[in-house]
Amino acid sequence: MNIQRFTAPTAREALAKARMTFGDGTLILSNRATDAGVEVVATAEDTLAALDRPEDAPRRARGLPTLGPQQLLRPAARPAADAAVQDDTAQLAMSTLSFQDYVRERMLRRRHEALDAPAPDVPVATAAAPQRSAPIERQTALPPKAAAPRRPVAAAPVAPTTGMSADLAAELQAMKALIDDRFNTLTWLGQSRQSPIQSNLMLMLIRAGYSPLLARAILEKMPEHVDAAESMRWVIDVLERNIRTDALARPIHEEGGTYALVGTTGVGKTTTAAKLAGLCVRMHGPGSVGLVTLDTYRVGAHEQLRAYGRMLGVVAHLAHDRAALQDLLNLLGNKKMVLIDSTGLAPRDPRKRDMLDVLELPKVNRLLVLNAGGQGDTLDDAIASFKSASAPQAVLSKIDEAVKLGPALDSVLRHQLRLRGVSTGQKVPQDWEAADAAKLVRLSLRSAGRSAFDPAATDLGFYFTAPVVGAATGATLDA
Amino acid sequence: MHDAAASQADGLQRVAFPAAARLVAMVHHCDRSDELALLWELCAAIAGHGYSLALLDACSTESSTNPGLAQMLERNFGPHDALETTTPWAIYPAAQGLELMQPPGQSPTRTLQRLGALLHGFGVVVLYAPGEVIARLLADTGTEPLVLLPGGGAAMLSAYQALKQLLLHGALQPTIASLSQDCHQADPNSQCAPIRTLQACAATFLGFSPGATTISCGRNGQPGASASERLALRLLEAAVQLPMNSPDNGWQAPDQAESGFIGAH
Repeated sequence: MNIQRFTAPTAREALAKARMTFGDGTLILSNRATDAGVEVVATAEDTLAALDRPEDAPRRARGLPTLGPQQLLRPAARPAADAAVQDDTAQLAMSTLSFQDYVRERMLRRRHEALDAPAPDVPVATAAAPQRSAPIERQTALPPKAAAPRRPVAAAPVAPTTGMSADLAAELQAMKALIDDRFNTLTWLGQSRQSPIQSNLMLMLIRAGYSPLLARAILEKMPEHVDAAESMRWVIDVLERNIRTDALARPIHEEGGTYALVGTTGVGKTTTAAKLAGLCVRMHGPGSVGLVTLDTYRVGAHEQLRAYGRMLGVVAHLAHDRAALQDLLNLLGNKKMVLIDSTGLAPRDPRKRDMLDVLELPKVNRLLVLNAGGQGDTLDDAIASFKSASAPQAVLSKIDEAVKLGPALDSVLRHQLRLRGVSTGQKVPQDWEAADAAKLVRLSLRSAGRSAFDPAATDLGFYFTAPVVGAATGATLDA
Repeated sequence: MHDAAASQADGLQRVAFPAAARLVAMVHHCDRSDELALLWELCAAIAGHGYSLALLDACSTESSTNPGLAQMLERNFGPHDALETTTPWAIYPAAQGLELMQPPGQSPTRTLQRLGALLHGFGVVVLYAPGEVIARLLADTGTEPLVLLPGGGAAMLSAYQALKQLLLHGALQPTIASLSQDCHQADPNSQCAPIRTLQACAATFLGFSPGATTISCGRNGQPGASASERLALRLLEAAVQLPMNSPDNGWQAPDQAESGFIGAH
């Protein structure tokens, strides 16, 4: 009987050695891990056939199918038998392979691959070397200027007389609107000058960062003949009443639901998600929260959420697309609260539409995270880009960093957002508070000291008059 | 400048409950080659998520040269005693140990408590065992063991058998994963896809339609890493948490207190 032992770094190599010796009819008798790698004991199929021929009893005893004499003798039947034996061999080798052996083998294979891997070819920089894909795409996306059809000047249609009169009418209409607006402004300014209380309140609101639009809308409705203190209270009341919060409902982490945190870059979406997850875990346990991130763009985004998840005992999932998100939401359907952290994007980023499309799923509420210290126009832009059409909800982050809360509250008020909470610092989850309109308004109207950006009382007129052409040019400033 | 808090998440340490190991189960029912390949990817994904991993291989038997769960139970071998450098994770043979841990009549809760006490240093414990072992060990825990469905009629039969064992003996609702060499060829939504057949059989004869997922294999024939990662996270979500000491010491969600487990979902 010819039985041989083969040793190699991996099982695959040991099997190859055995096959080189015994051919296709190799039969693996045993397979075990050794210090040097893997040891395979093998023999030839003929050896087994020779054993079987006198009597098949041992073969039957092992439960193996006996080979008929025709199969053994007929050369035509050999390939099929060989294939069967080969399958058996592979299966036998695998069936004796434990997961430990499998892991060892893969580790060894990795090590050998790493050692055998040829040094990477250094790409030769040539004129024909491929450029980065993005510029190429950009080049192909934009039609070449030279190819653009030129409109012959001579062929330009001459505007008919009726068209000219339409243009004139439009211009006259625009002028009329401008004059109306200017007269209204002047009237209002006159009234304000006549009423020093109104002027002071206007100055206070604008210094706090509220927009002239909102300040004027509020003060126009202020009742007449009220003293300074009462008018101040009235303005504060109006602001408080118009800022929508969840003060009368349960806090967001108690109410639960599925929330996708959206917003521009760096506003604190992941930290807000961690805070809300922490608060929900504190109330309902780690099994109550599901965490999902869509952020495959920012380096370390998933790792950051994962780290928070590990601390809380919550698994942080990653969804690449809408189908995967839907699948995960089905999986997390029994959670009290599911928080979806999204990629921070600029409002005009072309990827924004795709990201919002992924979130267009039933029961997914968008929770807009706004930087409380943001500039008014920037906040307006972010809100217009990210807020959902129905029942928009928001969170104000970085309240502690904001010098003026006026712009944020102004935007929240004008866009009718419902504030679900405010983030007052970096600590997770302590720096989180329920949105309290009264507190926020008071905070926004506190005196922040002198600022170069504050208007003086005499500057107020400029807020309501159109800029003179060229007034803001560099030449004027230099002069 | 130097705040008393060392990191912004210090508050979470007070919120979070002591981390108990999560137990994830994968059923062995057919040809091991595909199962081991997927098990490797799952372990790699779980470890990649920062969890310390222990694997209990109930398809391997402990021996004096290769000690495992049985030796841990006899207290002459600690889970960290023989951590090999040749394997990236702690892998213990556990065929005998699991038999020893479950004498007839002992509740799964008690067994899992012992397991939790033995492997308390690990974040995730992966159990690779035949269906009947998993059904006995994890009965009524609500976890979702993984049943792999490679191609081939024999695998279909053994997968169905495993499903039936898990459902009837353990009241466990498994997740099925099928391997696809080409995602275009093996459309999981196709009515003739093996996974659909298995789901249909389970729905017809067992009254349960298991969740299913398809994992595309790479060019090397191995399961794809990203699909495996998603599957690993899914299994972690449905994992059972091993009680740390006794149910009295560990936190329990109010609605799960009676079962004795801290369910992950």
